[in-house]
Amino acid sequence: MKKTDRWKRERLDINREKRRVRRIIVLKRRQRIHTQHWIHASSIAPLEHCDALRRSVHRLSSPPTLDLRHNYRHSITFFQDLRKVTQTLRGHLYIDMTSCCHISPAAALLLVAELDRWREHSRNGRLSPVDTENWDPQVRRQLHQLGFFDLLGAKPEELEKLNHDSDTNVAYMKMCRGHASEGTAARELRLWLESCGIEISDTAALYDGLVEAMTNVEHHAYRRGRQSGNRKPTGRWWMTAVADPTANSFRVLFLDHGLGIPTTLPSKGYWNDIKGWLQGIGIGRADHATLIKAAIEAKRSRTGSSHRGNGLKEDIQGYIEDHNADGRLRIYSNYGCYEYHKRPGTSGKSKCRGLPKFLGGTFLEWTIHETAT
Amino acid sequence: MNSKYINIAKDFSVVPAGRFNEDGPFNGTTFRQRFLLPAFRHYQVVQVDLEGTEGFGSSFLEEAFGGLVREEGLTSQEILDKLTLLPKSGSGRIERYKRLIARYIMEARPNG
Repeated sequence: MKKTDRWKRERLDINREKRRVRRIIVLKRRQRIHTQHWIHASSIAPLEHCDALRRSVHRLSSPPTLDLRHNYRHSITFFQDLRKVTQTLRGHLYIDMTSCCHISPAAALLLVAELDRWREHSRNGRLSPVDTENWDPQVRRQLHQLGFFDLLGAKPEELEKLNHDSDTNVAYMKMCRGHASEGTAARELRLWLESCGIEISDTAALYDGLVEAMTNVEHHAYRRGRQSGNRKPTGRWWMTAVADPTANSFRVLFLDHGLGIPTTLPSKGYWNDIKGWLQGIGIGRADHATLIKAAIEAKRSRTGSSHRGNGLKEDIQGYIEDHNADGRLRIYSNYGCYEYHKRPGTSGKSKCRGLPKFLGGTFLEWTIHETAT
Repeated sequence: MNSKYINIAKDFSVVPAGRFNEDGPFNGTTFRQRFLLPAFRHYQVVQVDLEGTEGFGSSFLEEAFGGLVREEGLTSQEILDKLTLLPKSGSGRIERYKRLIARYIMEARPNG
């Protein structure tokens, strides 16, 4: 058939019309999904009158206890809800923290990181603290030390009028964030612990564990250009520490919002080694907790990418293994939790368990009691 | 016999970290290309002083030393013959780094 000019024009018009209809369908589908998300987010954070702001705003209330160990389900539900509403609802959102009377350091870091992410993605990049005089003083002090109010852009005079006095010796380091292997940040954390009066017996091991965790974020956590539950990649890690000089003990907390260890593991060059290790212990299809354990304990063969992925075992768990102190490592990643505990003079023990709620990233916590040294 | 002395803390950084350039300024690839490779190409003895840094993540050490075999085509034997790690008798941590470096050099295989 001869393709006349008229025939070509008609074909062009037909194709153009097809593309237009396809665009409309995609747009309608997006609108429908957005509406569903909006309805869901509005049910999580209903529109209510806020006395502090003197207008109606979407209000999301914190549970009374934010703690990953003792109230994991409700704490993670709150953080998931926070992410949903910040990604979906436009306009003002009021996070009601007056109902919170206990927040663990781990949950505080998760909260600060979540708000930091929100601030970064929000149009004007500014959050404001309101109603803080009605917060639990202990929660307020803890969040203040973590740099929560700096993140919100509170003015110094607003902070001064709040009572930050404490009846405990426990100190919290101002949260820091980064997106690469920032040795300087690890060094500053060590200096802060020492300034609090902690005598760290193996500073290099702490440094090794921290920079390796940062390197893992850069190499593995945010791979493949997609993140859990958000479109814009943050590529970030957040880090803080808690020091108790009277007990000569401290905790280092490290968080990323990446894909999580169990999700990224199958794409690694050493996945065959992991599969072999799992088959060796009689597991065909592993849950997330077992996959984290496998990522740490499975030995790499001398083929493929055997030189990669050793940092979890050698440095992150190695800090506890090589340390002659009472030490504990906790790793929460997606639906899995791995724990390694070692007492002085004994070999360490590991255990893992599933988590009832999706964490959406990886959280590491080293707890060291230096008293034994 | 000509020798080259490299003090990582003084010549490179007290906070070495990471494997590749995107990991940060003081990564293993940069250290290998700027210091180790020229030293191994032009000197019979290469002394690397590990003292004075905050520490070394395993990624940094593997990329710097294992990378000599994997990326640069040197043989494990050639590197181990030329390399001296200092201080001779270091702390437990330094001894651990020495063991790791030796292991990474031995386990590395040339690419391709």
